[in-house]
Amino acid sequence: MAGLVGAKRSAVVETVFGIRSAEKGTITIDGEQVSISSPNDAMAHGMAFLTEDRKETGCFLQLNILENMQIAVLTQKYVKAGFVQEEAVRKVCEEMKDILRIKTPDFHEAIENLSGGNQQKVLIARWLLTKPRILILDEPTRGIDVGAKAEIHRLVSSLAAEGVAIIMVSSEMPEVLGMSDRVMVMHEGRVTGFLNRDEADQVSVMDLAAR
Amino acid sequence: MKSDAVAQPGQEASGPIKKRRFPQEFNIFLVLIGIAALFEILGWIFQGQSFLFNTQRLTIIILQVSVIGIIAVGVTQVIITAGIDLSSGSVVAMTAMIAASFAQVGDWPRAVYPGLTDLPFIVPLLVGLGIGALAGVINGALISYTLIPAFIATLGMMVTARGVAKWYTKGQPVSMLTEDFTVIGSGIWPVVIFLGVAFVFHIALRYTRYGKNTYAIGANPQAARVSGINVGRHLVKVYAIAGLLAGLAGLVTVARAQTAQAGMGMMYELDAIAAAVIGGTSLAGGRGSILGTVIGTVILGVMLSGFTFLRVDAYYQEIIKGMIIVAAVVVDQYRQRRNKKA
Repeated sequence: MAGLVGAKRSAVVETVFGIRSAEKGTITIDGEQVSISSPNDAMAHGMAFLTEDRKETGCFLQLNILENMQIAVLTQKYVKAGFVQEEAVRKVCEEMKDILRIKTPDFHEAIENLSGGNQQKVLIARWLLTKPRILILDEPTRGIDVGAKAEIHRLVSSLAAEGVAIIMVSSEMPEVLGMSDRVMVMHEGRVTGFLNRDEADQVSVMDLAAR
Repeated sequence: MKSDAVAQPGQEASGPIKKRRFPQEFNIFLVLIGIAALFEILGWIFQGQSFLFNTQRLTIIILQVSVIGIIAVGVTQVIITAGIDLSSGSVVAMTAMIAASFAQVGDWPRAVYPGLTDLPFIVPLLVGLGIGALAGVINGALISYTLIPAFIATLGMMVTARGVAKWYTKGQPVSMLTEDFTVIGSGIWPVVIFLGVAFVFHIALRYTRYGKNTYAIGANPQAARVSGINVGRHLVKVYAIAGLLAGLAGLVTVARAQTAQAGMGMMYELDAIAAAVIGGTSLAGGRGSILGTVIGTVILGVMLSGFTFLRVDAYYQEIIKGMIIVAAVVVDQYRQRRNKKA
């Protein structure tokens, strides 16, 4: 999803994930209309949502890496009679940490001591643990270093190849053009157009974004 | 089965968690040792006798704060969610009054319910716990669904519950309680109940989803919601538990006093909050532990006994207690700022 700042792209994806309540419209997954009124509902339909603002709506800054990573999947799995199955959840978190190459000596380090890129990877890990069918990424590479950015791009591509549907909001033209199969362009709260990969270029996207 | 589930994660988690969690509680423990040692030295200087090496005093130290401790276990969980509960003391009084009215002996002509006397002790017990939990559910629902600040919602409950306690018998005390009932306040029972409750919720906070969600909500409520936690429903649970424990504290208080009065539990909420904060629970939310609160409660008990032992005037005791609470919060603020810099 492309558009200038203020195009209300975040508002759209937040509504889809049930964070905001919809005024009108329907959500359809695999041809089936679903009703989503909370993030919990959205997760039950296989959705995951990496929010734009890491500090405000992503990280639990006082908590450690493990606690940050496991929180979403615990709403669905790895809990028996209320007790967290520490060993099992720890194992999958360790695996995810290796896959995403999160650089930290210790799982029990507070997340606020990590770099922006590594924080973002922990949050991505949080969502990947829930094995989503639909992954929404709101500005996933904003404010992180170049290396982590490239890694996230690679990861997103490989997830898409595995069949995960990815909705990515981005303000960076190269990212939009390089990653998308289809681009939805918005301007001040309205959808101004859809472009397929072969139609999308800098000029066509900017044209719709400024309309 | 149950004990397996408890023991297993315990062994697994004790190693790595130690690194981050151990030091803070250890520091609080050192403070406790320091305060006790100070009273020991002052005891020898001013009273010519030992403060600590006196079995009777050691028992009293814990006994007199076990009611506060029971409340503090609930309040700690509320504070971890970045909330506050000011209603505990009044809920103690309300519970005490109502529960006592179902625990009166038959040969007492002025019973509240003359037809309902000599009931088995389980009746007042369940009534008391139910009243406490109900008050907590109301607190939690107000906070979650009307979005008023916890401070206001529980302040309202504080005034209301005190009112109910007075209205219930038009200010008359409720006495002549059955022996079966008063046993929970006798001897060492309050201490056993306090430590039992502390153990249960220590496990709950550390090893259950309830606990993980409690910390997550305190650390960042928006992120908790986005992560699929039903924040509103969880807060109702937390406040209900705090209310339930205040109710339990009310039962222990009235069983120990053998008479219920509407003025019971005055300012207990502040002592409980103090115990939690002294024990390292952060008023900003997301940080704290039951173990810390237990140590914080014992610190309060030691100070109370120590002042009495040194024959410090009761007025000075309150003044000093107030300053210590403020000091504990200042230390917490300082710790948070230092953590941010690191």
